[in-house]
Amino acid sequence: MAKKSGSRAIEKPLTATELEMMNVLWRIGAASVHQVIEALLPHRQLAYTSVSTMVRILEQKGYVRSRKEGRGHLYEPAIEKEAYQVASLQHLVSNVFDGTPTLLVQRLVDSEQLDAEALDQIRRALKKKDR
Amino acid sequence: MTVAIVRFYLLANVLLVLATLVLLSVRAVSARLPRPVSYRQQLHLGCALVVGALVGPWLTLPSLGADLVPAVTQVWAAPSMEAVGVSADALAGAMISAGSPETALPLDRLMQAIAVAGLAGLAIALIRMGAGTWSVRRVLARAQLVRRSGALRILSSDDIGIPFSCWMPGACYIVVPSSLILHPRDLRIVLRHEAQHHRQGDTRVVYAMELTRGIFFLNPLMPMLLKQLRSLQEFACDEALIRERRVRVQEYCECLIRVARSAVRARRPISCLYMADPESDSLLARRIDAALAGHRERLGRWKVAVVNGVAILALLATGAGLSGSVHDRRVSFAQAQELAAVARAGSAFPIVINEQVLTELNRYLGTPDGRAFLREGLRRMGDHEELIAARLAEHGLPSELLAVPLIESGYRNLAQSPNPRHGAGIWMFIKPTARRFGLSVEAGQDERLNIASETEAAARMFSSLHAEFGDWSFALLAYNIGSAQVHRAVRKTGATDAFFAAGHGFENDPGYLARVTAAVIVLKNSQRLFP
Repeated sequence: MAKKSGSRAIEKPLTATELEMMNVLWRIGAASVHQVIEALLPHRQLAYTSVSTMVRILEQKGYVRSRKEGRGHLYEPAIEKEAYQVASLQHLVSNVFDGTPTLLVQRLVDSEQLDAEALDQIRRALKKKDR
Repeated sequence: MTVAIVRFYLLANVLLVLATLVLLSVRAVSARLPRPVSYRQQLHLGCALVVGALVGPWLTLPSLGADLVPAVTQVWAAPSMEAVGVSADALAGAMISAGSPETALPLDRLMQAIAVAGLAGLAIALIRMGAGTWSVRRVLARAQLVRRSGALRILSSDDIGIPFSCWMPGACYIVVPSSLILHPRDLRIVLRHEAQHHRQGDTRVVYAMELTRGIFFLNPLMPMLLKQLRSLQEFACDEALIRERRVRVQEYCECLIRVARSAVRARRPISCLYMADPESDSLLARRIDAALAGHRERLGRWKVAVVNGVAILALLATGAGLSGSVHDRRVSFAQAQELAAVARAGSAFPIVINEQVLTELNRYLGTPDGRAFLREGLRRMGDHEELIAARLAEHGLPSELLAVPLIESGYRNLAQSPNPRHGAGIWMFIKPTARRFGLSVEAGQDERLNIASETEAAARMFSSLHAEFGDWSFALLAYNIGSAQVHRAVRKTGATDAFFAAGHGFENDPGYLARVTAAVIVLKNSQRLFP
């Protein structure tokens, strides 16, 4: 359960497909391979063996844990989505933004994709942090 | 041992070139046959040829006499008679010549060059393999286990773009890019392909190939040979999958193309086998052509055994023949003892082997001009042998004394030189000695040049000397320095052995006694040494 720590560094980053699966597990919680496949449909059609192998790889990477359930296994996230977001952000800051979080925020604020509402939310978050 | 290593290195290089040419020829001929030979059998032949090339140089044909095989390469004790050192066995001064003796190189320098080249190549190969193993181990450590079956481990890695297989002591690995997990059809083909490499032993052979490449990196055809073997490994693997593992040709070819496409130009450790090398698109195209071309003729097991056996035997025979052509002309102490044993058989003449005699044997047998001198001397001796042997026998003298003119003049009937201390005739009598034994030496008439007369005088002289000293070694020494000097030497040194006296400077020509002893040994072994 130590995986829930927000400061956990990313040793083995998720690939795009693995992240896709983790998003499913974070959304639906503990699930069998069949349930993951169904949750990925219809935009992603994967073979049972592929998904089964992928979740076992995720388990080895420490993102998922499994438990026996009847004849099969149930897989559930071993790390909270927020913790992964924090770890990813730390990874991004240290690898892309030269270890300077303000630079990341600066780039974020400069980005045209932020609308007024988003900027307002950021301001509120900063004020909350100040208090 | 030095000669053995030099011989191995030189001949193995020649045989590896031959192996390459044979393999290329077989592949070229096979490609033109209506039913070409299978790639697996071509691969087996290639491996057999390399083994033959590396084993062949160690074989020799003992039944062949030294001069029956053309002396392509010869090892000499020294470049000339004058250059023979005291220590005949030492590597220093030894030369190796290819073709004519004029092209001789110092053996120790060549050995050093080979040792440096071979060891440097080996070290580079080991470093490359070590670096490869280290980077593979890093990939393996970061990869996730997908399946394990006995010694086989199938891993998925985010760090690679191309599947590979490798062997490490105790485990066989197949590593696939994690993205391939999403394509079960390709994954199945890739796993079968890589497993086939393990089955064929390719993942182990690759280490031997890299070591061979390292040791023989100077060989210009080595890269071509290894490239042929590596490509044959892939062809044989493709062939086996399509033929035996029921992989559909079209699916297989499409998978190959997809794998090659997805392979980024990442570093590829040398100890691994990759399913499709994106840097060799021509090989990929040929593999696809071959896969689409349909089944190849597979010869029966016995036929393959015969073809491979003949190829190996041909290469081994060439190696043995060539190794017979590397003649080590130097005489070792053991060989000298062996020659002396033959010379002593049925003879009471004293024949000893000591360091001086060994040096003289090497001067005459181990140098190009020494051998030429002996060969010519023995040829000229043939003209007078009957006469001289008869005279010696008449006086009850040993036939070994035939060696004296060989050393004195090389059986050349030499006239008096301007130096009065020099002798004349084949026995090289100086004037006072000649007159003492009844030869007329006057202006216009020098009986020393009459071979029969001089031989008669020499026979009488040797009879007298042997009667005086009762020992042929002292008699020979007296022939060189005179009786009075021999008596003086015995008085001064207390010598009971002529070599001991000679060793104390009582010789007109240094090494005379040893030289005559060497000549006696050569005479008694002349059939074997100069067939």
